[in-house]
Amino acid sequence: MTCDQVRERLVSYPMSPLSAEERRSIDEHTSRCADCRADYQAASIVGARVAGLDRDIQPPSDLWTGIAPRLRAYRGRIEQPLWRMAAAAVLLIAVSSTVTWMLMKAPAREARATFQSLEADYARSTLELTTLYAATRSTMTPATRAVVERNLAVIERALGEAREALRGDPLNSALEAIVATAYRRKIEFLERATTLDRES
Amino acid sequence: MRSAWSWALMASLAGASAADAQGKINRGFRVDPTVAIRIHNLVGSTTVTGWDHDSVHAAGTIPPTGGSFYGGGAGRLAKLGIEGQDLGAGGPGATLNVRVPRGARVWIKSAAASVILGDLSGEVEVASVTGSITLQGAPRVATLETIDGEVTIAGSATMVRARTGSGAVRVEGARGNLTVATIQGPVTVVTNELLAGRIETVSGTVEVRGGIPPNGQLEVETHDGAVNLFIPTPIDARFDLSTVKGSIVTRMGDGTDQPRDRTARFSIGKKAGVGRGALINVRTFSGTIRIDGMPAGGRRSGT
Repeated sequence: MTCDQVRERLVSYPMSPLSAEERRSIDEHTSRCADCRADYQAASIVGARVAGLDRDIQPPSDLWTGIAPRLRAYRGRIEQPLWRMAAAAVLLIAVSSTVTWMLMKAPAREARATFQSLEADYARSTLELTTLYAATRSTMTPATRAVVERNLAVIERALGEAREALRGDPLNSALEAIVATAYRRKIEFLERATTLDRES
Repeated sequence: MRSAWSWALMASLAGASAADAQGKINRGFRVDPTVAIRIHNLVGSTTVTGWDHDSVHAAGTIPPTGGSFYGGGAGRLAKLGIEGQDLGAGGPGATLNVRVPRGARVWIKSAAASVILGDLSGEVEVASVTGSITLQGAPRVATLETIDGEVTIAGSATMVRARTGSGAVRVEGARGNLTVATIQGPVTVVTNELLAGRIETVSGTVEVRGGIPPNGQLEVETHDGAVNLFIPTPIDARFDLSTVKGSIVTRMGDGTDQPRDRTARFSIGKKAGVGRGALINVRTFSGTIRIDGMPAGGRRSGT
């Protein structure tokens, strides 16, 4: 036997006497394990005392007559019609579900509002730069203008696709990041396009 | 600063006429080894090469009606280039070959002119529209921007930032910090020493061949451009891949394609399993993501 096996067996030893085989195994183990030997001795003392107890103790004859009326009065106070208990359960489920839903959705709604505000800023900047580009494009060579507008069309298409996907899944933070990236690209490119004539 | 530049410009104009009257450029002047030099050539070609002299030398040719050369400077500032170029006239443009101190800080403005930089160890910055840009050597910092031109980076630049619209970007041997952004242009990166890489396109494909060091990080983001990473194995790396509408396929170890969910996080290698190793993040909207583990030193057939 191992230490764990010995200790597990000793827990029930006072109420459940050891078999001859168990005793041999425990004796063999405790002959070389001081800790288990101490536990075994303590358990033996408890076992001896339990064995000496009177096993035929009867409760007082008036015990139940004192308890029964008090229990009936208590039951009367807590027993309710079944429909009322069912309604209470439904109400409890509804209230707890609503609270949970609100707690979970509140940060998402806040994040959505923050993104919408950010998107409005992006859109405003994009509009300003697009207006500026429209005013400066006449200073570009036709070839440069064509290159710029071809690239802008690619960015615009990507932005449109990302925004469309976000409309279908408005709480998707990954899509928000993609839309934000598309706006940033458009703004950066428009900034470069509107400074080309100044650089040259 | 402005007065110094003005002074440099005045000095340049004073010495320009003899050179451009013949269509040939041949001019030199002394500068500090870390001179800041501005070079302006919109059409044709500009080649800037570092050398071990504390001087600037410009040579080249200007076609008839192709503008005139100006150049000059002293000490820490210099300025040279071609003025009066007509972008809409067509023609070959000016050929400008400039030698500058190796540690110079070089700023180049181009429109359609191709730009080639070599043997520089300082900072370089190029702004172009449709001209191509080629960077060789190992400058400390390089910022290369064009809208339609191709960008080629060959060498071991420490910190590179390349941006183009529809031009292709090819990077070979970059180490340290690399940032590449294109709209439609495809991006190809071949390296084994990238510590921090960020590649971003809208529809351009991205191909990265090479290992990322254990403390390195690579981020790739496209809208619908396909992303193909060819990683030598074995490698210690943590992958974080996600796509909204695209697909993710990995081919590691046994050489068979393994389709994955649209969000895939996994680690390869013992170090990566304990939170170390390279970090590789790829995000697309609808572009396909493919991670291909190549046996080290070889290319898998079919790739």
